[in-house]
Amino acid sequence: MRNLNLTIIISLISTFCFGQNTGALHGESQPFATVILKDTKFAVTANESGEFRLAGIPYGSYEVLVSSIGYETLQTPVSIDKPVVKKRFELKESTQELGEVVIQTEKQSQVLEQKPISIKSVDIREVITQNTILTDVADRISGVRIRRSSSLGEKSDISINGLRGSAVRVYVDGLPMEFLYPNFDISTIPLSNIQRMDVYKGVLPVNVGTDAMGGAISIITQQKMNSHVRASYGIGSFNTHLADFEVGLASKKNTFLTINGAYNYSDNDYKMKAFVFEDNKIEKVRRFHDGYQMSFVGINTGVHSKPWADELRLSANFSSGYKELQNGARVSTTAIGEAKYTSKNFTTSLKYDKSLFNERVNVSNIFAYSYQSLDFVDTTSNVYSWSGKIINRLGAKGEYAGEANNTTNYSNYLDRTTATIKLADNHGLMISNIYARQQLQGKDHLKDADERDYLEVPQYLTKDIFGIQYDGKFFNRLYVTSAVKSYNYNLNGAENNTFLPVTKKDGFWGANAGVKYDILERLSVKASYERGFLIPFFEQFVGNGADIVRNTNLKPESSDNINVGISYSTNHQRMVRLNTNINGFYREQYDRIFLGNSVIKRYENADQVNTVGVDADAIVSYKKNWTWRNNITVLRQQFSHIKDPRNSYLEGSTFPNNPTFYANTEVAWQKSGMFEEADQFRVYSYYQYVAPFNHIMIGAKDTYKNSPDSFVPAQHRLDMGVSYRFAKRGLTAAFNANNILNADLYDNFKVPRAGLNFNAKLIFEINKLKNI
Amino acid sequence: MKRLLYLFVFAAVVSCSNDDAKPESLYTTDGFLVTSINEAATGYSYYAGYYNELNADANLDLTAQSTYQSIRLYDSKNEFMYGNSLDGENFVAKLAVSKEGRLVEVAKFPVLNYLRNIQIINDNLGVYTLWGASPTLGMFNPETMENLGEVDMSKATKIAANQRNYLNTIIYRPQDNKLFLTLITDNDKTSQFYDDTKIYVEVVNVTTKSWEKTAVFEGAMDPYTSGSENAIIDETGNIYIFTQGSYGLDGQMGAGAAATSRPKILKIPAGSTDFDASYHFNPVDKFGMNALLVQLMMGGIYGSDGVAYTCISAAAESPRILELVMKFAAGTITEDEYYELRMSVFYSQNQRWVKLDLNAQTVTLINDIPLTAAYAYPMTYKYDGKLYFQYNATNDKTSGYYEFDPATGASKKVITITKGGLATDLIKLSPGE
Repeated sequence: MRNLNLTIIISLISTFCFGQNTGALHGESQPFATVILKDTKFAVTANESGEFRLAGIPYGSYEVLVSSIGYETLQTPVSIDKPVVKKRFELKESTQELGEVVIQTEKQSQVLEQKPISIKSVDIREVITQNTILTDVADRISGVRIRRSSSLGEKSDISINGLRGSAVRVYVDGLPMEFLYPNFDISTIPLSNIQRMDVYKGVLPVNVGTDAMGGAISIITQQKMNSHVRASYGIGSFNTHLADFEVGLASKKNTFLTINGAYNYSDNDYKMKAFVFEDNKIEKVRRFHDGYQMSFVGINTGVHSKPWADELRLSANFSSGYKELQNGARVSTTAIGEAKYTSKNFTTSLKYDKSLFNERVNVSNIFAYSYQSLDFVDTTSNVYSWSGKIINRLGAKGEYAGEANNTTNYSNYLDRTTATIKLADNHGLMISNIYARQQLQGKDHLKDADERDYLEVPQYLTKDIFGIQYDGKFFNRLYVTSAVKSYNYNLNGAENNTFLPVTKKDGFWGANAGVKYDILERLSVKASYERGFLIPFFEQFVGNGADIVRNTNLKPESSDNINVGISYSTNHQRMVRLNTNINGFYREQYDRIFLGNSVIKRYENADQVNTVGVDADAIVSYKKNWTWRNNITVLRQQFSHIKDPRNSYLEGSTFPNNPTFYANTEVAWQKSGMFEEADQFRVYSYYQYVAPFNHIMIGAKDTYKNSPDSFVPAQHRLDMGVSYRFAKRGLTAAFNANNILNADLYDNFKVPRAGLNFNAKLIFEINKLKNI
Repeated sequence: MKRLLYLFVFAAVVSCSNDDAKPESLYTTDGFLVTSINEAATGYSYYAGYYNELNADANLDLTAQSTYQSIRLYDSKNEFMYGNSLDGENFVAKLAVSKEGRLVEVAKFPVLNYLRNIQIINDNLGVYTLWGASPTLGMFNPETMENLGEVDMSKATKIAANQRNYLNTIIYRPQDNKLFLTLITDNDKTSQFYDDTKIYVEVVNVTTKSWEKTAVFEGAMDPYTSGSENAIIDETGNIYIFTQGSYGLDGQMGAGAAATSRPKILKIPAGSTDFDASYHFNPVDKFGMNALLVQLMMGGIYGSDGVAYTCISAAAESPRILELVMKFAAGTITEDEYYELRMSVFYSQNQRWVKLDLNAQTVTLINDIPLTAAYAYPMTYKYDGKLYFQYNATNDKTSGYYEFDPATGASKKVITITKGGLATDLIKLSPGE
């Protein structure tokens, strides 16, 4: 049905477009170049790949002006005499000082931050030399706290303004990651494939969110349509190697083919303090069973700038890897020495994008299918000391959660359709629907032939989330956004013990609204509210066939989210420039989904949790060279209502294991033309502080001083690094030293992170190869 | 560890002096430690508070005290307690109450599995058992906390078909310097908690630190009473083993159920290392509750002169609980129903503390202690000739302890916890000799 609709729409578009006396100018130039049709209202900023599109231009002859920082402005004639005119504008590098260029362009990341909802957007190209994994980038954003061990391949716990776990979702090109890559972590996505990361604090637009409640991280992958080549290799402490490449070929007929690949490997054998069983004391040991490997290969092909499609792209990728386990959620008296898992993932997607009616309407659809297989083996009876020695053999097998040897297979179908409609100059409507279906089936290889195997029973979870959103601008200074969302889900599973079929179906409505008001040109206030819902994960509903048991009675979690903020920036042309945001947030979570540490591991709905806090960031720039970035987050999270009357006395008590005060500061100095014209040198120093916080419930008499075991200690992280982009050959080199104080850092439940460590990176990139 | 080092240095300095006076302890040597457990959205919380004296009129708010990742105390001697480490890891830990009133670790050594029980035999010897696939009995010095190794239990009974075989209750008989240890054997694939119809008691010679034999009783199940798992041994050396039966989980319920599947008290006579096959009785039946579909005998402690105490089923379970038990027994219970059963039983207030005359095999109700939900933590202690019984009242959401004076037969409430969950340990601290 959906395909039929698409065909009709395309036919209508073609008919409509060819019936007009207007045309479009599509082309390429420098990234973020400004393209203006002289003496007209037509102007646009090229995207990061240098691509631009101007539509609705009456047939005729024009002068086009193309300008970009560091390049001489180009003026050339162009004739619009057919529906789509394609041009390529090559700019010459300017010999002028950069500071004299007054043309201003705004990147997509900056544009997003001007919306009424609370969002922070990071252009990955700007930080790629400084970071090796995506979670490190996110951890530097105000209100965001990433907690993970230093092991590459390890799961990350993301917290946005105090909400964490499944309340915070991750999206890749608008598709929920838990459906696309069910067992992969955000930190394993190769940075080089990512164009931008948007962090939504609370309210999500309908074309990004599904049922995320506490915010989301939206990852936008690279979509270059010009011929290019890119490769990078990073080497770091603990035998860490990160390599990737991408070759893109584009034709003058607007077809493209991109092949990319990545390889990540690390021994993760950093030193940490752990209890050595045979010595009966805590010693500095080297992790010995924490290896990680991931290989990825992908292909993208398609066409763009066609009358019938702005973009049609087919992608496929395959990845495989393994991860050894060294410890559970916390570091115990003995280590894990043999348990590990291997996984394979195949994903394919088809994306279609088309603007209609002189770009007043844009429709896009992305369909994806992914299949993931994961084998988990934990069958040894050996007991390992943290020294790496086998210290005993127990009668019982299994190091993590009992003996296990099982395969789980996920098959996932996803489809997101989005339409944006420009109602008037300052008013737009967006409609988006996402459908996702997940199937889980597997095999417990330890079961006897005549035993029933829970994993062999196919189970399904289907979600359909529809949203409609209005965006408007009034009086040139008041921005309004408002949306309603419909959430529906359907679960078909098997009961844990009896294997009897279990079905569950439900639907509900949510809404959000945001407003932003520009008090002055560079001073604005914003506020937003969302009534959000969170449909439980598949695993939370049906268990995992192992240590987590099912609870099909789980209700969706809901929350009221309120954000208020103020932002101010000085004139870009001043010698000292300031850009600052202060946001206050309030969250009230209902029917909170949690996994207790009771005898039976089972997700439950319980309790109402209240979070109140403030996050702020400030960027101070001096001339072109100095940048000083700071952010700070302070929050308080406590139980506001407890359902179980036996525990009602806990109302008002602090929710444990949640950092309540953390801050970052970074000073960077950069200079272009340091050794050669158009080279770029950058050096930075980054410091992060996390105040002590209780990781268990504490009594009134407990303080960090008298009960240190109940707290995660204060953490001080200092990193320094340097990068140099060569003027020619598209080469960038970077070197980073992390945790140079060799301080004690921790993830959840005090699992130590690595001490002083280093990494170096070489990036080779040519973005402007000639199209074939 | 620093504290241990300090203790050693302090002890060494003191031992060099000519003054025979006992050095002042580094820890609190009187008063009471009260602990509780709470299960909330964030998992279990363990509270501990120190009190100079027990005040029946005071409502205790343990949330105003201190919280720990884990508290499980198995035995105590003078001002020291022995149990799990406070971080919940696999250690045998020696604990005490600091001068500031906080429960602290004094010393500890690691073990390879979950701790199951500890008993202090004398100043220089303590023993512990571990949960796991094979019976494990370890020894340590409770003074220095030196791990003295394990007793070779390779000849002890191990039911090969069952995934877990571990030693539970530890009974020390000073008359012949022997240990008697009950075996729990459990198969993952059944609903029952105990998968045999015999009781196995391993006999260990403490003098030679060696396994001697297995005493076997046919026709009983599950030598497990929950709570303190106290040794029930009289003044002459008669040992009594409290067995639980099947809780009805083998489908045997009601008056017609097989005697094997119902609670029983067994006896190993003084001077013997074998069961007295003729001695066995069901205290719940003796109490007149033989018609109950499911019978429980939770907790237990020896008083004196052949009298012990336990908490037995004294009212019928709700029809819903019985329905769920039957489903559980038949293997048709769903996970949701199992969770409902667990929570219902935990907070089902229908057990009574009773006095057992082990010689006469009679049961007498302790009248002034009301019905309690004893399934979870039926802890019992004996201090200065008085008995302390844990209670859990679901109707007023309190938990705490009753003090029972055998001399008068009267009981009174001495601890009422209003905030902090279910009462667990009640440790009376005393100075060393």
